[in-house]
Amino acid sequence: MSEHIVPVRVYIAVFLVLLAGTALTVAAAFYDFPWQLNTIVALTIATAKATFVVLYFMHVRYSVRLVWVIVASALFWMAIMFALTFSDYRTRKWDGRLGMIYSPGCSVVSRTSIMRRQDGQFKRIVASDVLIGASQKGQAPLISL
Amino acid sequence: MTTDATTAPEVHAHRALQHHFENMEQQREAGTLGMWVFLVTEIMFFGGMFLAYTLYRSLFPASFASASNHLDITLGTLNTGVLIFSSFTMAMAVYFTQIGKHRPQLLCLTITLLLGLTFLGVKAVEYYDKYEDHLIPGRLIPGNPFNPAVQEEGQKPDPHKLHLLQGATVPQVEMFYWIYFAMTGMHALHMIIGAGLLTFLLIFSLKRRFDPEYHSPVEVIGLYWHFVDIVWIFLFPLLYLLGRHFEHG
Repeated sequence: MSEHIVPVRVYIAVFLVLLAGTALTVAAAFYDFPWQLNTIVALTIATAKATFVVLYFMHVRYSVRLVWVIVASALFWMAIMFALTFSDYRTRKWDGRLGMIYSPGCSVVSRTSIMRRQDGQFKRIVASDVLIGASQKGQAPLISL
Repeated sequence: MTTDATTAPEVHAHRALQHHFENMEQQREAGTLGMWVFLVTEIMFFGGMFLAYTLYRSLFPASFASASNHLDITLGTLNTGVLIFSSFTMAMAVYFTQIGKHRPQLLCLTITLLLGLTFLGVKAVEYYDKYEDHLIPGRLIPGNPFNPAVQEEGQKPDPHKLHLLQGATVPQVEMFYWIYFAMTGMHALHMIIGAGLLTFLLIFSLKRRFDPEYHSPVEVIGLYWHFVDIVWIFLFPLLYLLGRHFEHG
């Protein structure tokens, strides 16, 4: 048997680290950090906790190289999914044609999106829809993005 | 393992060894590898929901913070502790199987199962609280549509009313609750499946099916259990903690 048996003290140490991480992340959440640091701190602690679980509880630290490749592939595909999705969402308002007609009183929604109106109905909007604030009809504007 | 020269090697082969593997070690490594491939698909599955969360939170930051502040942070923290403890006992169950200690292994599996059920019980209490406050999104519950009471300026604080931060709106809060119930619901479903798998392990452990040479099922279900724990490690700060500093900072 060449299997590596993780000693009990390592399991206990990881357990205590995870509990400490939980206490830390709760305490940090109530402290008002500048900018987006609250989210970054929370995610850093969560990632550290997850890393401990993966390396020790899930034995990846002692596993064959192929397991490392599989774990890395999960992170790689996640990165692709986030990067491609946000490269779309984050650049939708860059359309020059839309920029020119963007003015107060008009709302333009980039390309196509589904909007929920005040009355609860859904409406599909395409780039050519220039929504002059519906206030003429005495209604609230359709869009609140 | 000592091999008697007079007996054929097949006699010594473990009864759990499948014919297409050379030996138990190869079989165990193949099983672990297969489980990790499955877990990658699980990561992608939850990843889609984390993506939706990220997108809508970036669109509706104030509403997400307001909605998150309404969640019960005490129960959330308690459940995080419960799940971490269950991950620890699961790891210990694998350890005791590896060194061939039967009774501690049974004990650890039982504690893990009980902690998993505790987590689900606490989750049910939380879901019921949300039901009471009319925070189940859409019309998922017939006769109790999404319709939370909103805290007005100057009213005395009521924990059952939604406190909207500046810029937050009720329809956007509903979007948070769609994502909250989708993510915690899928997580709870995984916990229920995990509890079923642990019951299976307990039954087979009582029948003394596992020993230091053959413990792949314990190891592999342990991997699954730890994965579900990791999902919660990310869900907890992202769902429960994102807006606390706006009210208490």
